[in-house]
Amino acid sequence: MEIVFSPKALKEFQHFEELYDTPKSKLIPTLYLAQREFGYLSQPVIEYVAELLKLSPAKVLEVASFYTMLHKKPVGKYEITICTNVSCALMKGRELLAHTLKKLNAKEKEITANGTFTIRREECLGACDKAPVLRINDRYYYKITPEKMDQILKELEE
Amino acid sequence: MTPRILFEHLNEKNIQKLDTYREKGGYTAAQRAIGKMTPQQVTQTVIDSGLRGRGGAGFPTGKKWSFIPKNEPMTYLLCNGDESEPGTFKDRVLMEQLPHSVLEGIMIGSYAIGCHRAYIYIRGEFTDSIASLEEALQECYEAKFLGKNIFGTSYSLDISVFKGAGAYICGEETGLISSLEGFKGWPKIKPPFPAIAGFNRKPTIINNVETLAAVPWILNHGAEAYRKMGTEQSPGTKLFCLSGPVKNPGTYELPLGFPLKDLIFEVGGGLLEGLKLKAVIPGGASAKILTAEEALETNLSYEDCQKKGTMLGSGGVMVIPHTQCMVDLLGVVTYFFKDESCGQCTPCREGTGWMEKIVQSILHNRGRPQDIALLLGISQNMQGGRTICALADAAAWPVESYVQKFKNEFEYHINHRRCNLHVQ
Amino acid sequence: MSNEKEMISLHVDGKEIQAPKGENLLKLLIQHQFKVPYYCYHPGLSVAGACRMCFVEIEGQPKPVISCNTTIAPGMKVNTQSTGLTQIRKWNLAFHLINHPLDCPICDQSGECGLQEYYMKYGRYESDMHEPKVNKRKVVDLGKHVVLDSERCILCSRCVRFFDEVTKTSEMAIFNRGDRSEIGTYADRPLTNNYSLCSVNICPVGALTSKDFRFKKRVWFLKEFKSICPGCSTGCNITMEADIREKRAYRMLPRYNPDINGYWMCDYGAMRYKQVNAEHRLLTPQMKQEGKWTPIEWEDALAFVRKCVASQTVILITPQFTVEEIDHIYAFFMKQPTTPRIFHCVDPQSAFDTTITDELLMRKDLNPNSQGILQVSKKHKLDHQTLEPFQKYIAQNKIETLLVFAPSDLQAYPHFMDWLLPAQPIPNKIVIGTRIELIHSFFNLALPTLSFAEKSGTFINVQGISQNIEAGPKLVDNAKPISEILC
Repeated sequence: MEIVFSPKALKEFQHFEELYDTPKSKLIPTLYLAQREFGYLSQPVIEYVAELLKLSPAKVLEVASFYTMLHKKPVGKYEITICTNVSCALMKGRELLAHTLKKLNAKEKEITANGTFTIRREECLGACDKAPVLRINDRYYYKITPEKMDQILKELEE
Repeated sequence: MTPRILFEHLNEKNIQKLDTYREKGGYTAAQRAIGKMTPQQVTQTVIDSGLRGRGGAGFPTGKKWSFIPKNEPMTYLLCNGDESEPGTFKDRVLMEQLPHSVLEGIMIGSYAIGCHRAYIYIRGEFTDSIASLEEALQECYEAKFLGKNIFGTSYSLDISVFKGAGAYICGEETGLISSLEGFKGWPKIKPPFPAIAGFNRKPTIINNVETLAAVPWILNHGAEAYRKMGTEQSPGTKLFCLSGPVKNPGTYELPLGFPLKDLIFEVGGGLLEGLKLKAVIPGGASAKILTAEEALETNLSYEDCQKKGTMLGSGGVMVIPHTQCMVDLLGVVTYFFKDESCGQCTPCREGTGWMEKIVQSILHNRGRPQDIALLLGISQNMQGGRTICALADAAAWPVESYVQKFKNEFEYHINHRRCNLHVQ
Repeated sequence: MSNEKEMISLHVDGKEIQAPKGENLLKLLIQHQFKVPYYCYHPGLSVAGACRMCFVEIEGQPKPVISCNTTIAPGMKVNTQSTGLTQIRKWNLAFHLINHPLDCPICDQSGECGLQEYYMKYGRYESDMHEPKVNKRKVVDLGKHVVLDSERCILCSRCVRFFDEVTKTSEMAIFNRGDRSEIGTYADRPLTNNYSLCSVNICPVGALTSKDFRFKKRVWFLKEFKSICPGCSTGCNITMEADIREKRAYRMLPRYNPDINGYWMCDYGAMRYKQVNAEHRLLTPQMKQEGKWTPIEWEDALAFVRKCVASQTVILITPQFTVEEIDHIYAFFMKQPTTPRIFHCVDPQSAFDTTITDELLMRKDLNPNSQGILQVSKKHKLDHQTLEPFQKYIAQNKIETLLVFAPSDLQAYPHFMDWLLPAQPIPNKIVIGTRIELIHSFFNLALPTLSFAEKSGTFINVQGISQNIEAGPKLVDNAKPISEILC
């Protein structure tokens, strides 16, 4: 796959120009854009972004490696992040994580064999009143029991 | 009936829409501030109201604005929507449900500090908050409430949303600035303070979402009216996020000084069936824990929390039931801070990992008797200005307070090689 | 001077100190040798404030502050020693050490390591760290000169700031976060800029080590000499480090000079020390007899020289000798009855060329003393006698003797021997220099002299600044100073 932004992404990238007074502010938005375009931030993608923004690739990777929502490795079609912080831990979020990993026979942060899921424990997702909470890609799921989890997984697999 | 300021129109249908928000009196405060008041008058009103920052530190908002040097050609206002303090989910409600109140607050704040370009830094996970604010922004631009010559005045302002990428530390003022500048979210050494050299080295004010959302009401009703609620040192209302095993978890707007006991047992309906109150974390995971007895005596004001040796923080109230092992819970908290330490200052980078490992050792029954003193030694040497930002303090406070207040549980794990609650 | 900075007065540990307004407090404390520990601060870099070692107490401040991020103020009262500060330093040192491998016995930084130094001052305890340490990468190859051991790294970010701020090449970064943070280059790409060794020099611990110096020598066996880099016309100030018993130079480190090189020197320059060691040196006078080079006694060699210079002689001098040596050469031959023709091989154009050819300091003219030769030759009104007139002269005249003062650094004159080709028919071809390569079929007699590391004298850099070099130990016993060869 050639690492070049689609015309649509390129247009979005050019729009960043208007938003910031210093060019480096574009880095995180551009990394997001690249992640959407190419799935994850592989080495060629990091180098492409570095070239677009005229930065050293070390400085691009440095930023990419700092933030958890920027993927340095491929992720499954569905990225499931399960909160295990205080409120969710009190409401069995950790048990939910263990259940999900076992159910899918998965290892944390690794793609399941069928390429569908990547599961990761997550810090507080800011919805503690509806614990335990998880996100699947961009969507929140609230008050999830193991039974509800099984149902969700089943629906996603279909 | 508790007063409603921030949540005045929460349950109004379509309040996310500009038209509905305006029908309810929205943007009149901004219009009056920008059209009829000087920036100094706006700032003075906020100073008089006694509004304090709702992000955690509780710094007086108007005073913060007044730190911006006069006649600066270029200043920034950054709205901090990086809400990531565990147990906190109030800004999200405001951003998702009441985006225009947030924008109106930003407009007024920006005008007060002479800023023409403001950003809302929203944590990346908050997809709906981002969508809601972006929609609201578009409506404002279409209505010419933003852009050039707002409300027919000579004042111009642009606001845009910046999506965070997953890092607790970006909620720290200067970590947020670093992130917005395209760096890792490493906090910056102070001095210089952001009000002198912040975003892009220009004078910058960073205000929490909730803080800014309170500003329109204050301008509409006056500082006096705001001061009528809350306490002398903590005027007004605040959003409290109640979570844990209680009957009615949720976000509640309450006057500051409200008894914590009433939040848990009246507003929150008490603990779930069969559970007894063991402890309360009153202001997000970094606040020092309160035992049940302490919690029942505590009022939710900056001063009373401080008096009780903890902090009001972000207003994230987490209720701990009697079935919860405190070593286990500290394991959760120390893991969080280890995971989120940015790695810049040595005491925090090394101390967070060290404390987490020791707590895990105790939890898994490998602990040594001297580990209790060691945990206290580490935590006490990470706080009180030993690092660039307060994350080290935030990581140290829970360790210090859990170990001090629930020492017997730690000792039991160490001496008996098992949990006295049989919970793990 | 009118632009001299306003001086202010402050008190440190009860002592009054005068310092320029706006000075960095830690810089001042270091200058005045107050015992304040620090790792991340470096006077040539921006302030990071990350290691948290340099806390001091300032009267009126509620808590101790890091001195590296404090600007001095008039009347400031600073306290660098107290039980509270010792407690902070002790704990901060412990934080630095918990995940450190403590492998001093096999670490090259031993003896000049900040961790060791402060451990002796604030530590000296049994470690409380009983948990497994964080494992990081070891022996990471970072190019021609540098090796990284991430476990030893204390993440002070000096190297990262150096490449960001000084060379502006930004090859290094700190990846990841928290206690998983690690320095490195992108995808382990080699450091290709000409200042990679500066990162080794400023590394306060043994994380970045020099491939060249690694495992070669314990630093406490080395003696330091103040010198000037002979690698180009910039004239970076350096410290030459040599083992006197072994008669061997081990490394060259930059020495601060605000007007010339700041705190830095290039990798090319740093490797110039090698040429002074015995394996590259002409160890004794040698004469070509019946086509074969044979060592001879100095006495015989000097007798031969005396005999030759009495005949029609031409002299060629390279700008790798000191001003004093060059002056001696000119003076010596100017008074010879045959008034020999004296030439030098400085190209005046490149000698005045101040263009930087790399990221920071290096100049095109790879000689340390071109200006020196120009000045001395001018004094003798022979500055116009350069390489071209030399070649023309030897082609047109019958000459008995050629005397060459050869370069020690062949890198400066890769075609040096080609220049001499027109001189092939000259019967007596004598060379004076330091390098073993002078045993060349072209010459008849080769005489060993001192390298820059073994003599004192003056080099004049491209800006016209005269700088002294200090004589280190004699590394080749049988080499003679120019003044003893020409006497």
